[in-house]
Amino acid sequence: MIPVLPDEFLHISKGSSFLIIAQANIRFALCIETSSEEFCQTIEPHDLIAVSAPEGGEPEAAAMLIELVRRHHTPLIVLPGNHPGSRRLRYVVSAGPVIMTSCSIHRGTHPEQHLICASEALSGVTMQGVQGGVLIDNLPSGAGLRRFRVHTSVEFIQN
Amino acid sequence: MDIDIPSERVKGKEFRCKDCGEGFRGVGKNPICPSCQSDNVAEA
Repeated sequence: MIPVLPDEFLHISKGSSFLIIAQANIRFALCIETSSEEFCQTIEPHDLIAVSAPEGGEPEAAAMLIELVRRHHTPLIVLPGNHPGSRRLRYVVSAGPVIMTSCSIHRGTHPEQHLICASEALSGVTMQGVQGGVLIDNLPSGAGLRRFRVHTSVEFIQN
Repeated sequence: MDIDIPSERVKGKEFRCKDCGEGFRGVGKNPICPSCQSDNVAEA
């Protein structure tokens, strides 16, 4: 098990692509919105919120997406299959107890939360949230693992 | 280490919250209300 504290994120990378995962920390109902239906999935404190950036990007942006989901309970929007906007998505999100990466799905178009689109280099990784951390299976050789924290605050400017 | 992957497609069942009356389609175990976060829900 890789220990991950409640305020920490786990960064898994290979080449330019990366995954960032964190535990949900609290129990809440996550809504998944498709073009025709809404599904509500209970997220437990040890479940994972994962963001994948198949072509790379900014870890801070991925961490913000995780915070939007776990702290603010932002619904996940699922595009219809073959939607042209799928190719614009630089970051994709999945949430649940077990999440597996796949390079053979169209990003942003599947409501199943046990799968997340990833690069070929990071395909086949399985991540499971457990008490105090994350179990990772099938981590590719040469993949990097790091933990990080993000400090955000709002400071209103006096006029 | 083996990790089991759930293979079912998203289906869900209709639920109604006994506390706030919200209706919703829940997936997975232990559904809770997306409106008030109560677990006092019943299949509709």
